[in-house]
Order: sequence, then structure tokens, then C-alpha cells
Amino acid sequence: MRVKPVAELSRVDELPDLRSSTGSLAQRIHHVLHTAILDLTFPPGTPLRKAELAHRFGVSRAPVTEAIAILAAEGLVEAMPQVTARVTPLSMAALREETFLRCAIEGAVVERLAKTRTDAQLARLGRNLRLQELLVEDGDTRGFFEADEEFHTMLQEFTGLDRLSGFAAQVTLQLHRARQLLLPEARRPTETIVEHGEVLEGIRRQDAPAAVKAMRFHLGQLVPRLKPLEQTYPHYFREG
Amino acid sequence: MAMSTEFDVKKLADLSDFEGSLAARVYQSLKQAILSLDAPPGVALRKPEMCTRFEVSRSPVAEAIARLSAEGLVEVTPQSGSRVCYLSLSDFHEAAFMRSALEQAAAERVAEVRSEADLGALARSMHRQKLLAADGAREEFYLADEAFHELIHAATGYARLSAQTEIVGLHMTRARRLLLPGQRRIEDTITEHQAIFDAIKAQDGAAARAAMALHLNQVTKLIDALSESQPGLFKP
Repeated sequence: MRVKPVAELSRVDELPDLRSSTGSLAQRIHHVLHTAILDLTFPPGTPLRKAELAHRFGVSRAPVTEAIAILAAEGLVEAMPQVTARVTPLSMAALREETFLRCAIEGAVVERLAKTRTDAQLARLGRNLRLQELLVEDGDTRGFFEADEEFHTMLQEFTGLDRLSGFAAQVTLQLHRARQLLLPEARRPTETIVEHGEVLEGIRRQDAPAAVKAMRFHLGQLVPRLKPLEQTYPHYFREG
Repeated sequence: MAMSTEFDVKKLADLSDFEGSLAARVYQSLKQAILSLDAPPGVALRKPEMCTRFEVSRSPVAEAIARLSAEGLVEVTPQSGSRVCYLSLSDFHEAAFMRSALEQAAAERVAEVRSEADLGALARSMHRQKLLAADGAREEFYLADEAFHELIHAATGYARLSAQTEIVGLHMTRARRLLLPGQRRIEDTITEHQAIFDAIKAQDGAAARAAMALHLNQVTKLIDALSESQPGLFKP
């Protein structure tokens, strides 16, 4: 029996039990793997072995196969020879494309909100910004990352278009993973808060061009910071 | 527009016209019928009839219907079985917003990065549209209209943009089909496309974006008007 290197052993063991989620077996396995891929417990390129996962969860292979099929449809895993699948590697081309899509959507979102925003929405956004400030003071990197996400999701939801935030999340899966590799970043949270403030101010003043300009500047800070990742984590990026 | 509640399954395109698994092909055939209004809003889709028409078992038909239901094109209820969904004005507005966001960004980007080859392809598309309009070839014009937009998607260099736009714009595409393609609308479409093309040629990103926004907004105006003149086509 081949002795597996320690790094390979630990990943599957880090997965939580299925008890912690709801739905059919396949759905629960999907949920656990989806989370693990997005928070980089399973980094890009990690092999997924049906037998190993079935054993870990105490289930047959069938629900594992189904869960992996869903992940493949989402673009989070890809089929590989020798193993069932692997977590989709990152690629700069995909990251640029996702940034384009994100910018297109979020630009349109703030342009609309500048016209339709309510006082209640402004209050909630303001509270979220204040929370971001407090989390930076605490040095709470993970908390800040989540508050940052929440700011953007709130903007999307405030358009009143139900499927928009789901679509935005779906087309930014590589960005979500790549951004985690950047954490923690010394000055970025403080800069982010300033940029979020500019976006909010544009919306508050009902100045659509200003809000769009602020959002484009904010999202434009992403790609230059992502580029060095290819050097720092070459094994997470697609070969060739 | 008179709508019958019965659907003639002979109108469904043969599975041999499509590719993929049986379920995938049944899905594509049904979807085509729904988008072309051969299977209009409200008609029942009866599994046994479709199984007979396609000469397949229930399983691929059930899978195809599940996919169409997930997309919001078919409604499945225990009492009435499967029916083609009525158009929803809110689904339309959502799709129009998202599609417009992507297309405006695409037009702006292409204005900045377009190559001579891209310009050549777009110019040829404009010629083709004008020739088809002069001939009154409506169905072919519709396809040339779509091709113009796809050229712009391709010129961004983002391989998946066309597919993404099609996915988010599904309910907009569906509603557009209801608009009777009059000659006036064809002429206006060409004028609007010309403005987008001119801006792209002039490398003016802001103008390209504005021209695209204006172009797509015409559809929204027409659909809003249709929802008032023919409320029976829509559900709230």
C-alpha cells in the first residue's frame, strides 16, 4: 500500500460531517465540498477520489458521484484521468473574464441604485461600512472579508432583482477563491473602506456616474493584485 | 393573439436535429418550440404524447421537463401536469437588466480593443442586415441581428461571454419573439446597430455603451407597451 504524503492525507479529514447540512445525501455532500473548495480547504488542483470521499462520509459512491457532477456543472471541478476529478485550477484568463463580468454587473447595479435607493437601504449600507471599520480595528481578517462580501451582495439585492446576486456569485467563483489567497493584506482593508465609501456616497447623492466611476475604480484594484499569485502559487494555476 | 391550450406535438423538431444525450435532445427540441411560440404560454405538455412523438421512454422526457422547469419555461403542478409558463414581466425586466449590463460593457470594451479584423466582420454584418431588410427577409434578419451581437461578444476576447449573455437573457429573448417583427422595427434596429458600430469604429467606449443601452432599451419599451395592450400574455 502506497503511503500517502501528509499533505494529501489531511484534506479529506478536514471536511465536516454531513450532519451539519440538510437535504438529500448528494446535496449535503455537494454543500460540504462546495464550501471546502470556496474557502480553499481544497485548493485548486486537489484531486477528488470517489472511494476516499465515500469512506469519509460513510456513504456509497452514488451520492458522491452525483455531488461531483453538480460541482462539475458549476465549473468547480473537472474530470481527470486516474482520479475522479480535481478542483478546477485557477487561470489568469478566467480571472480577467470574471472581473469583466463582475464589473459589468456591479456597475449596472450601482447605476440603478443611484436612482432607486431608499433611506432604509442607505442606512443598512452605512451600518455595514461602520462594521467594516470596526473589524479592521480588531484586525479580524476573516470577519472583514465577509463584511466586504456582504456589502456587495446587499447592493445586488437592493436592485430587487431576485436572481441577480446568485448569478453574480456563480460567475465569480475563481475570483472568490483567488481573493482568499491574497489575505491578509496590510493596507488593502483600509483602502477598501474608502472605496466602498465613495460608492455609497455616489448612491446617496443620486449621482449615477459618480457611483459607477467609484465602483469601477474599486474593482479595478483586483487584477493587479491577482497577477503576482501566479508566481507565488504556481501549482494552483492551470498548466500550459 | 389567440392561444389554444392544446399543443400539436408534430410541431416538435426531430431529435436527430440536435446533439447530446436523449434527455438533452428532448430538452433542446422542447425549448426551441417554447421560444418560437410553437408551444405558446399555457399549453399542456403531456408526457405520453411526447414519449410517442420522440419514441423515447419517460425518463429522458422527465429530465428535459425538469431542466425547463428550473429555467422558468415550464411549470409543473400535481393537478395540471406540465404547462408552458406564461411570460412574466418581472422575469423579463430582470433578464433585460442583466443582458444590458453585459452587452453595454462588451460594447465599451470592444470600442477600446477592437482589431481591424473585428471591424471588418462588423462592417460585413451591417451590409448583410441592410440587404436582408431591403428584401424584407424577416427571419433571416432576426438571425443576422443575433449574429451582430455575437460578433461583439467574440471581439471582447472573453470566450464565455456569448453563452453567459444567452443564459441571463433567456426571458428577454422569449419576450422579444412576441413582438411582431415589422419593417419599422427592422429599420430602427439597423439605425441603432449603426450607432454602435460607428462608436466602436471611432474607439469611443462611452458612446458605444450608450448606443447599446439605447438599443436594448427599445425592446423594454415595446414589451412594456405589449403588456398593457395584451395583458393576457403575461402573468403578474
